[in-house]
Amino acid sequence: MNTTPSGLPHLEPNVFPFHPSAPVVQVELEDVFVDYPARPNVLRGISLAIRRGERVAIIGPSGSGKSTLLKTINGLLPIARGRRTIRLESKVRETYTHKNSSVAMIFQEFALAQRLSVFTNVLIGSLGKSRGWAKALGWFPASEKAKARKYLEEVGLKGYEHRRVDQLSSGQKQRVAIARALMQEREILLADEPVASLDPETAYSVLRLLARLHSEFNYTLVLSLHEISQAREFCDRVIGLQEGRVVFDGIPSSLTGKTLETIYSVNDLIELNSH
Amino acid sequence: MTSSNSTLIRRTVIVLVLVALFIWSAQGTDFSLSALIQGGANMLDFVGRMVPPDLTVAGAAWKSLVETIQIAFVGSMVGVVLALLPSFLAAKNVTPPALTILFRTLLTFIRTIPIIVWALLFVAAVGLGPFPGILATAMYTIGFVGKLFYEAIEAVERAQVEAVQSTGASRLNVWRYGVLPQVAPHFLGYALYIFEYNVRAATVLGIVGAGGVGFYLLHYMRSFQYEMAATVILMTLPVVLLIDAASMYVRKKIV
Ligand SMILES: Nc1ncnc2c1ncn2[C@@H]1O[C@H](COP(=O)(O)OP(=O)(O)OP(=O)(O)O)[C@@H](O)[C@H]1O
Ligand SMILES: [Mg+2]
Repeated sequence: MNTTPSGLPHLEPNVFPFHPSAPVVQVELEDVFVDYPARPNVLRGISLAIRRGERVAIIGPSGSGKSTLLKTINGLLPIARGRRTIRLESKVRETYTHKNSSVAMIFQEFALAQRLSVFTNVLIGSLGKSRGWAKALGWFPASEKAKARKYLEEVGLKGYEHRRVDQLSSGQKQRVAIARALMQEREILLADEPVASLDPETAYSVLRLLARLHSEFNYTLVLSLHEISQAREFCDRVIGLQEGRVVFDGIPSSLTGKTLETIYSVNDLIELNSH
Repeated sequence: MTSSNSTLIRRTVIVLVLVALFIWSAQGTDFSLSALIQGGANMLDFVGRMVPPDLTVAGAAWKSLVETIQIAFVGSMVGVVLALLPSFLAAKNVTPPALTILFRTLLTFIRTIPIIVWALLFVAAVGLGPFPGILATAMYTIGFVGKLFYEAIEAVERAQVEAVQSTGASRLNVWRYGVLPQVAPHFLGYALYIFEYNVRAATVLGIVGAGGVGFYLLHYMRSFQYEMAATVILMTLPVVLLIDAASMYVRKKIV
């Protein structure tokens, strides 16, 4: 396998659209419009299709709608116009019934329950799997506790189960958030700027972790990133947003200076280059 | 320099209005310096007649003091539990606007009635004793912590709630794991605070016949048995102070 200058394994482009064994369109948005109560048309006419196993980066200037797009795919935000289709393998569909439960998501600022233990935070990922009162009283089945331990080990946090989240470093918090998302055991994993609040070194280790999990668990991974270099290095497809529209959709190598100019304004570009 | 001139004028007007209000209120309430000095002399005489405290009533005072704390404790607990649902329904980020207006109005209404008025109402309704005291304490608590609770709910970090929603959790679990961990320490702090307050308030509930140490205090004062009143006061003070200190200590620890 080739390695990049930073010593990281180079990820072969690309599953989409040329990969022969990537047949299923798993996430499909058709001409989707999304409003916030006081702000109409934050997404305006988004159409995209993401296939099984793809690793997609969403890029775009601040306020272009990256978080909104991911929340829309997750089902957290209602669609004003258009259509959202999520296609899952049947086995998974059976265990998840709720509208949000088909897609796992990692949030921009971790969004963990600060005062609860690492372990409980990971178990929160299993809340969508069953109804009833037991979990509200803090009773989780032994099988799920075992899984929570397994996923914590997976993200390198074995032994941290009983630490309180607010006593962790940012990198550790993000790993807890990832373990919580793994706990959901979905086919699709969304990550909203998973490394934006981390220092460069930690950011790389978290991205490497996500890349490894992507291959290990055969995820469809969609993540928003604000460093173009990270998008190039870790993803096999890039979707560029601008003011709620898709203005670029292609393989990273076709992201030329000119296409970047269409995604970012000149000021944004100067800022990006100064990083 | 017109802007600084106008602030000067505004300040002068505010001071003048405050002075005028004070004079008006003082006249209306017969506030006079000479009466205050005269009262001071009476006060000294009164304190003089309090010594030595008559310790024969210590047993009765202790029992009623315990009752005071019990009234405050049960009333606070009941009030805090009963405040949970209306405060949830009054919080704009978890409840639709039509309902929040209703429950905010309700809580405001309850809050405007002083605890002693609640006590009077409940004594009239259920008779003398600690029970109306508990009811009064509970009502006051609902009004008071209800507002603090819904403000705490409105201050929760939305991302944490969304994260739990995104797992497909039920509404109950979204509340349990998204909202509750964020508000619980505040709720506990407020509950302790209102208990502290209610202990102090319950010491005077006896004056209207709603149980507690206030009954003895009023009785001894009315019958000029100041040595006995002194015992009651001397026993009440350290207990109230102790509860205040303990509650403050715990509140510091949890938040
Ligand atoms: N809850 C909300 N209510 C109203 N407007 C919102 C809300 N959340 C986001 N917006 C607006 O929607 C637009 C898109 O926001 P979004 O968070 O999706 O952008 P983003 O691309 O993720 O930005 P960033 O890179 O800063 O995270 C912005 O203009 C933002 O102000
Ligand atoms: Mg965002």
